[in-house]
Amino acid sequence: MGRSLKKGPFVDEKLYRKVEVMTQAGRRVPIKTWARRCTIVPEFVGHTFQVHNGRAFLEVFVTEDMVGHKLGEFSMTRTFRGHTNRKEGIRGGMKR
Amino acid sequence: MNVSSRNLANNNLANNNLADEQPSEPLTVELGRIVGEHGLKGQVRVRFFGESYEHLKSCTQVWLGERRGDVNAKLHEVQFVGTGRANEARLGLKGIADRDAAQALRGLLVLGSESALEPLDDDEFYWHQLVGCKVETEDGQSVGTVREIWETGAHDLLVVRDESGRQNLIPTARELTQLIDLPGRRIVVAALPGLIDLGDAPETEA
Repeated sequence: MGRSLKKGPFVDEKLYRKVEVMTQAGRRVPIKTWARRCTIVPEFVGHTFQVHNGRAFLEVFVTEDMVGHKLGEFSMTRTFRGHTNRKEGIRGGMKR
Repeated sequence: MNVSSRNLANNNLANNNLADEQPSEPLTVELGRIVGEHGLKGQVRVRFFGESYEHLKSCTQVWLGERRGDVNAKLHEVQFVGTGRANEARLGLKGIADRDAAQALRGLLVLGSESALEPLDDDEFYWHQLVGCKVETEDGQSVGTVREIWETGAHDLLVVRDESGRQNLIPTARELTQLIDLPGRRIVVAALPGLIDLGDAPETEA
């Protein structure tokens, strides 16, 4: 079941404030966070987060397409290696 | 794989006229891996490594080897390519006529050369083209070499390590990846403070 619309999206308050302060100061330093459940809001776009996956912090650069998703969706907890003929799209938005 | 099944595979290869062929181009691309057999008529299940098995469909011959660039890879004629389980294709090979022979091929890689892959747009690259590239910042500071690429839900991450073993994860977003010079085997990335650890990067936690 999805989250009630009445409540609105869950955003980690501490993380949100940190982003606000950084935006006002014009800084773009990656922010380490464990808040995988935090929804990505438009204010996060252009910032880089280091999202913990249970073992390490993975860099997540937030773009517009990612708004509405959770931070944890972009920090995989299982690493699959070996695809050498996958296409890598270097684009402004999300791949594929 | 046990010895007897390997011998069985070799016997089947001996019956195949293509077994002694040598690749004309280096087999640098892994198209898939044989993960099992299908049915009793020697079909094999191939887990393909691309987004689809279109490149396998167009192949009339495939190389089977144990690793990328394997000089001992054997050429097989493809008789049948069909849909399999999720992320798998079924392959029928000439000279592989029963389940035991197919079982003996389990674990082998389906190899190909660069020319087996479809051409890409200007802003697209194959992973194997990026692995091994030197990474540097805009002001020329060396970050290291791309060792592997991790797939995430968003931008894939370049895993860059330098000589001392320091690892940096760099998202492949256009804003961060400024230039990819494939002939020069060089990638230029934006030196975002804190993103690239060159020894004394500041960090902030939330």
